[in-house]
Amino acid sequence: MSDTSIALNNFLLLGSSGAFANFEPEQLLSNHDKLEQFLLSNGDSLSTLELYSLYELQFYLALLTKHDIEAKAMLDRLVDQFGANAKSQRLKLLQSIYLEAIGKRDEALALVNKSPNELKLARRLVTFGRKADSNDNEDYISTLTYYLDLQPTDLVTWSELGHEYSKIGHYDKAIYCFKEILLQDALIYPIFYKVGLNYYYNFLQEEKNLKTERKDKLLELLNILINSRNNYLRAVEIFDDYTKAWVGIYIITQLGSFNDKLKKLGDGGIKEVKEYLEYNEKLSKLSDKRIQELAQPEEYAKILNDIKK
Amino acid sequence: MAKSSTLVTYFVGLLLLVHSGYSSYEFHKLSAITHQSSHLPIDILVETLVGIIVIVIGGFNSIENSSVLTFDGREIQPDYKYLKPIEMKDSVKLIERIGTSDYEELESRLPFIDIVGKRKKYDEWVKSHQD
Amino acid sequence: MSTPDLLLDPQLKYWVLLPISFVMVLVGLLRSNITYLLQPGPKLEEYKAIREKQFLRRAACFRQNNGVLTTEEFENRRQYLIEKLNSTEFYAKVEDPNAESTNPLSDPSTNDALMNMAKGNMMNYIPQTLIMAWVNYFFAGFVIMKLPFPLTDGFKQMLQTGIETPNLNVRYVSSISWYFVNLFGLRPIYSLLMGDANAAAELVNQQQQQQPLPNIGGPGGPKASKLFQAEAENIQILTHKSIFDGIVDRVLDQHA
Repeated sequence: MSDTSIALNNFLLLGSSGAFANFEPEQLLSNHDKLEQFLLSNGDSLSTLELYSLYELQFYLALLTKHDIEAKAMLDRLVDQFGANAKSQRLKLLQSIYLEAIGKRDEALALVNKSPNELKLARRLVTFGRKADSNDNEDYISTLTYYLDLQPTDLVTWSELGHEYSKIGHYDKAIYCFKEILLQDALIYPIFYKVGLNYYYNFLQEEKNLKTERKDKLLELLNILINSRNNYLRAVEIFDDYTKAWVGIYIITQLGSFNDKLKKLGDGGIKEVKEYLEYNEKLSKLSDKRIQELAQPEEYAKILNDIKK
Repeated sequence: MAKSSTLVTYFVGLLLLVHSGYSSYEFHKLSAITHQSSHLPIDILVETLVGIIVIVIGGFNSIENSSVLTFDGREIQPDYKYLKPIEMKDSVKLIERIGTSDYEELESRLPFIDIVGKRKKYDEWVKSHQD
Repeated sequence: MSTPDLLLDPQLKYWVLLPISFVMVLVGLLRSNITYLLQPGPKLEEYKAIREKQFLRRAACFRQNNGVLTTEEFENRRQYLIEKLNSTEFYAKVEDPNAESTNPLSDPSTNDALMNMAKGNMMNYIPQTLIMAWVNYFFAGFVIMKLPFPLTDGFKQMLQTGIETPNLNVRYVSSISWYFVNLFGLRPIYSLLMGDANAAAELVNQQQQQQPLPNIGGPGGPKASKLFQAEAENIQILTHKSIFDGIVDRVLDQHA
């Protein structure tokens, strides 16, 4: 297959996955420039569907890299094709995002706040509860939960809510949200990883507050850790080469001080602790081996960084 | 978007098939006129078989997996040359290597994008690069 | 052959055979365009109805995938779902249990669906009837072509409708039969002319994205309260088996 179609597939995947929403500025700019070139040289030979998908992608990329005029041009093309007064929620969503980006927040708000039946737009309306420049996202969370009451199977919103809870340290609630996604589709391995990660954070949080070395407290902590480990394991059970989850497992097995405390308990004759430590050893070896196989050192460092944030 | 080599193989194969078909038609007509019944000459048979094989080769050629671009711009070859794996743990490998996953929308959460914040971040990046 | 060949005027080809096909193609295109224009755009469903469906779906998913939960989470969610399913909180509209069942024909939403169906059918039948009348009026009893290959007598009825000549060779085709052959044979040509392959591909894409939601309150659908209660009962008797039981051994085995 030619270079053109390879590049085209790459752009289409980028657009449909929305992965660019988490890109770094540098990556955004390079993708924007590449796509601009691509559209100039190949725009004529694309099918309508491909062309307008790319216009939509370029709209986002241009807006994110502050090429406002180009973004407007892309938006106008989409509007010309699909009609300004059409009932398309997708188009209105783009218009609203554009208005918000150029600072006309009120107009953007008015655009999405028309009918309660336009659920895609209502979802965008929820984001207006977000406060800029502050970590206080209580309002945002409450609007998200309100929306989820109306749309209990909207996975993207559950995911957003989970991330918001995770941000402010309500890991148990974040886990609840992510589990809700898993209930809808039990094979989403990245979410299993997320659940495991949140359990791990939860563990760290609890451990920090731990004053005593009482047995039942330690067992409670162990339970959290086991949950975390199990979710990581489920992720790698579904997708064998999932490096992040292997790193997660590895970190859990290397918890020095906590494991020492557990060892005392285990020696005290508690069966489940003993079992856990045995498994720990095996998993430690296995995950170490898998990480060596899968990841380059710099990738490993990056994942570690992400986990520690 | 078929490759040109595929088209050539299809064309050659079809040509061979049509030619062998026409030859056998002529042959039967001839034997009807001369009232001699004999078997089809071996060269026509061979031509038919070769034609079919060439077309099959072309068919295989056309389903070859193409290489893909990762999001950081490297070109990678899929693990399998033909067809795609059906087991989940194998089938998701390719898209993970590209740098995303089938469930990326849950990760990117595009409908909730904080456009103002992202643009601010971009501004800062540009400024830090100018200095 | 024993019967002498009929001599067909070559002009028949240009003035009857091709015009019939041509007119049919054009009318077919016109029809598909008009149908497209008559189609109402997709209507937004009321958010409350969607909420009701989605909640039911959430409950059904819980029933299917509860393995991803730990026992504690399972019990919490089960309590919650049973409670909500037995209340009326998620109903789109709370119905008076004493009200008599309404006539489905007086319901405006049903009427809409019926109207659409009627429109589609009309667009199918009217043009076909018109063309058939046209062919019958102008070319009744015409023998318009001779097929270049022999056929058995079984095809007589199909190819020679409208001409009363029992002994005519089957290879001759009458005008009205030509119309029928066109009627059934032109579909691939339409899809070629309209670029339907693209539309078909898009249709497939859409189907993949849309998750099936149960039909509640629609014409012929069961009542929400019944569905909710049934789901609550299902969840009540659910047994929980977590996928995390023995997961360490499974993963270790996988890599053994």
